[in-house]
Amino acid sequence: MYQVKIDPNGATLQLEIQYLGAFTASYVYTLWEANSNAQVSVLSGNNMNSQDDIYPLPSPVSANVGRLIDIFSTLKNATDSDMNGVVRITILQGSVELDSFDEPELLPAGKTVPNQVFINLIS
Amino acid sequence: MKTAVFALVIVCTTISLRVTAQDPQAIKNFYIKKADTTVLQTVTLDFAVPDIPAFKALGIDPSNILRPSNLKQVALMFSNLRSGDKFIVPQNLAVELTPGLLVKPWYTLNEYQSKGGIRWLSKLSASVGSDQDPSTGVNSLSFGFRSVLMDKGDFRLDKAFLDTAIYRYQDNYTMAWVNNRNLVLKNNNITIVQFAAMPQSSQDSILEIARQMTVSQVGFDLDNIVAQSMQDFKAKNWNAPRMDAAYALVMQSPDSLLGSIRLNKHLMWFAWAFRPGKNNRNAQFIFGLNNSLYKANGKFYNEFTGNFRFYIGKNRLKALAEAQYQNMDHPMTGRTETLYAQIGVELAIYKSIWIHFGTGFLNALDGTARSQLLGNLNLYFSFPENFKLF
Repeated sequence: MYQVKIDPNGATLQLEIQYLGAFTASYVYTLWEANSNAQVSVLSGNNMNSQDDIYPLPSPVSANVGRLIDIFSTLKNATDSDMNGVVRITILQGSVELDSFDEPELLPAGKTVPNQVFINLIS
Repeated sequence: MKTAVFALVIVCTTISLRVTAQDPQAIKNFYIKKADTTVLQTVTLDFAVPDIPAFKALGIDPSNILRPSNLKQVALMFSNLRSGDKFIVPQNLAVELTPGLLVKPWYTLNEYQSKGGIRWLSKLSASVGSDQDPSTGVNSLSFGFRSVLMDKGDFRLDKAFLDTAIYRYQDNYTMAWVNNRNLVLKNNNITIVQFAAMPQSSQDSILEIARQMTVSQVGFDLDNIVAQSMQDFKAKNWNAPRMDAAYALVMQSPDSLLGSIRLNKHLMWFAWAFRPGKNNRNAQFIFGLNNSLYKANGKFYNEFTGNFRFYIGKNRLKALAEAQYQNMDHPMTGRTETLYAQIGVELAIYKSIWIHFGTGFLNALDGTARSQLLGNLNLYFSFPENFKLF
């Protein structure tokens, strides 16, 4: 589990999901309430078009302190050869990149590999 | 039925061997092939660009090919080139390097789709092989490169196919999987924060339970359903335009020292397959070139082969017309040039066992011989590489 320090009084937070490699990926992004099993939001997408995989987090920014970002992905290598893939998650505040995480995965030929990234937002 | 087919195979194999045994050595190469499944559908003359050119150049077929998947493994392998303070030619080295497996990808799927340079790099492979002739003690070392210059049959470029045959299932499967994961957590009184803090092996166990629930819930396994879509895609795009090229060089040394090694041979392969019309699914043109330049008695000699084929047919019955030009320089006999043309039919009798009926003419272009009819009926069988009778 990663931790990212945010400024509760700063600009809007944004989450960017990117997949590096020539494979198909689908994801479900869940924002979990702090210390609770309540879901703030659940959004899904895939890497068919990478332009729409940027999500603003709810305002006010201070409400996100303690919340958990959960990105569950499936990476599908439908080719006949093994390949490498990377799940890249970036957290921005305004135009400033707070942090970026790369999760490399080996994708065997014809197989689906799950990947989970958890990010705890702290102040 | 299987017994009858097996008996037919044995009888026909006997006929095939008898027919080819009467042919000149060169002709055997045209009619007997041990082909892989890809080659099987497209080749009678040798149009295939080798998958691993370094081994093809050495004429070896190693059973244990090393395919390192990180740069550390590559460095370890090439440390074998050193013995004490000297660099040596390693014996029986067989390595295939794919940059796509060695480096972390830096491009997205969208960039792969729009940039030809990225596709070229991701499909580039390099190979290194070595061999020792037990009778002469000569050591050979070969380096090869293979690349796909163009491939219109790459499903990742077909956005409509990706959308309808993969994302449509993968998106639902992913959503169901994560919902089932959350259900398992809830049923076991595990909060998401506790789950996120668990060791990877515990997370994996929960994910596997959730995956099995997902397969039951959605009614399909993602890998199986995509594999079926891929088979359909390949069947529809078997004749999609494609261009492959490969190059290999061979160096030889009379002893094991790398310092004594000398360049001995260059080999180049090129194949271009395309269909007559954008929407044609029944025919294919294949154009192939193969050139080798080898050294003998201090001088380089050339061998060149150009092939052209037209293929038409469906599934298990195909007709073909093909031509081949070949010239060979020889230290003793000088240059010989031949032109070969053939028409034929190929019929799949059982799975990937094919019979070929063909007739062709071989013409020596130096005027010493008239056209020779090579045979009015030839039978041959193409077996997959992993085919075993027993």
